[in-house]
Amino acid sequence: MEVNNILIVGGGLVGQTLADRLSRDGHDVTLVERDPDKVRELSDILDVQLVEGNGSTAPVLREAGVEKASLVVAATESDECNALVGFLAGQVFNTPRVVVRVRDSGHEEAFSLVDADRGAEQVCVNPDSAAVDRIASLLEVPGAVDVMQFLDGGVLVAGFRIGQSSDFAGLRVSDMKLLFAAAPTLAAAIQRDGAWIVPGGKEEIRVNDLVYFAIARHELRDVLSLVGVEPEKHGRIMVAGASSIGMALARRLEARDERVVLLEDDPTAARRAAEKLNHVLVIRGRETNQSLLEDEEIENVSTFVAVTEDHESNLVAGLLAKRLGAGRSIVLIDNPGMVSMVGDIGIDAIISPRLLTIGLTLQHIRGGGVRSGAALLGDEVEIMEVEAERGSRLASGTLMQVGLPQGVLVAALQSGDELRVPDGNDQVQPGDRVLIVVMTDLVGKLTEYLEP
Amino acid sequence: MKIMDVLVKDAVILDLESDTKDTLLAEMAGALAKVVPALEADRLLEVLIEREGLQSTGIGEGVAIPHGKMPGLQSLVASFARSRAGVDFESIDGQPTQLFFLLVVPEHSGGQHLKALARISRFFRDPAFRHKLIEAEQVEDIFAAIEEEDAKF
Repeated sequence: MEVNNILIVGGGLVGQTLADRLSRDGHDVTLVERDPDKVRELSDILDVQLVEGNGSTAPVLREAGVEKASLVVAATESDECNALVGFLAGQVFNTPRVVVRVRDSGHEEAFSLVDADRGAEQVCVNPDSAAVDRIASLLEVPGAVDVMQFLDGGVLVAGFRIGQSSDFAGLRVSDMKLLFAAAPTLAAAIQRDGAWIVPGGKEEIRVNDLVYFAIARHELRDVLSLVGVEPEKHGRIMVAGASSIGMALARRLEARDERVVLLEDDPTAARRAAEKLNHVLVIRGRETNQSLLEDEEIENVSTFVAVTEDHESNLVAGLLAKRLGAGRSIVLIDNPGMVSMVGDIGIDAIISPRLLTIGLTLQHIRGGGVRSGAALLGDEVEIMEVEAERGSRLASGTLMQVGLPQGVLVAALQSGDELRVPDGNDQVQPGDRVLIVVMTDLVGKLTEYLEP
Repeated sequence: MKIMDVLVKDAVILDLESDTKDTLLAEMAGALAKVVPALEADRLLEVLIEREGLQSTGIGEGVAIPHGKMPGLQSLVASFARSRAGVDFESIDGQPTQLFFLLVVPEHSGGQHLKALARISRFFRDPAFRHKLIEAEQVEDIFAAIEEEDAKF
């Protein structure tokens, strides 16, 4: 495997998780953090080189080895700081690849202008717009706890909790080939009692499993019917929080002619929101106020989406809305412990900007043809879309001959216009695109199969 | 949906004569078409063979669930057949297949045929159910085994 020298600036949740993930993949990772207490804390839990200091200054970057880094990731909480790190790395130190986490679309635009005349690959990762995309996908698929799109939207990966009455309960994963012979629809990953499984054909789907299905878009309706999802009641969508995510979501839903109610507690933010939105009803008030929710007929709300900056309040509001009769609750929350509880606590779906950012960043870091789309299920399973490279082991023979390690599943193969679930006799050709599901601890090993 | 409600009892074959995949499908299609006037045996056979071409419906452990959609059919119908010797059905585990459950659905059946397929696949995952079908002395034993399984869900 090609070992990269990776420099990460910012030791928050995102920087920390990326550092851990990438060092476990076998890369040389250096992490820069300005808070000395945080550095001490990280030194106990991470096996990476730590540098204390302000990463948006040239001396600290130099001390952290920016000159030999093949990739710099700017993942602090501050857009300005990240933009500056990106600028220094890309323009001053000529780092070949730079990934910058930026929430403000204005910064994103400014950065793309700087980027224009440079050869370096510079990428902005925007957690807020990723969150809006993810919520919009969720709204397309009733009953799902999580939805991602791959292969130009041709394949959805959606997670469902399997209930007692689901037709999938008691089936084997291989039976899905019987049901969906012509389409790339299969069980891609299963979470059972908190542990993740990338299933082989003999794995049985059990009641209470959280199953992530890869679904050919045109088969979605059939999958929903087998899962046992009731057709969603058509009603208003209530968005709590005129945050940048809340506003972008409201705008997008407005454009889709959905009936939307936006709750915002802050009077100034509420007034601004009302000015900017045309068909969205903006109401001033707190999302955790029970009588307010009741007054707004929460029982007629099909989906309640809590995206304020206060994540704990999102959780409380989501639970409250659900208890008061909302059809479905989607909440924005970053706490890793809470993310893993999805479904167990009465919340239907959790949006974690942290996981979204990490997924998006990883897709720019992974070599071997990983270019479009990478996502995380919890912290343990990764789904990636890979373009098979000429000379890679993946494209060297039939999948049986290639012999991918256990825990790696090729869920879909797109060869020209044809999209299907490959079996052992299929051969991946250079240029084909494949959707791969992999346990995160096997990513380093998988990379050996993807690189030329 | 109860499987016994869709099983065409008169089309059940306790001991198949055929010893190849194609002749077996023809034997089952013929028996079913004889009882269900809306079905034409040759056309049904074509549909079944076409479906097998995508991927064998031999799901392993001696079981196959050939199926297809037929225009003109009013409602879902099913039949069962058994080969004591076993037939090479190109099943996923490479083992000979002894138990065959044929499912034919109207062309526009929505998700109904998938629900039926899922249900019957689940029945066959139960080793005791398979054992009863293998050991059945007469068709009534087969009906009893299916009825028992139907009552479970």
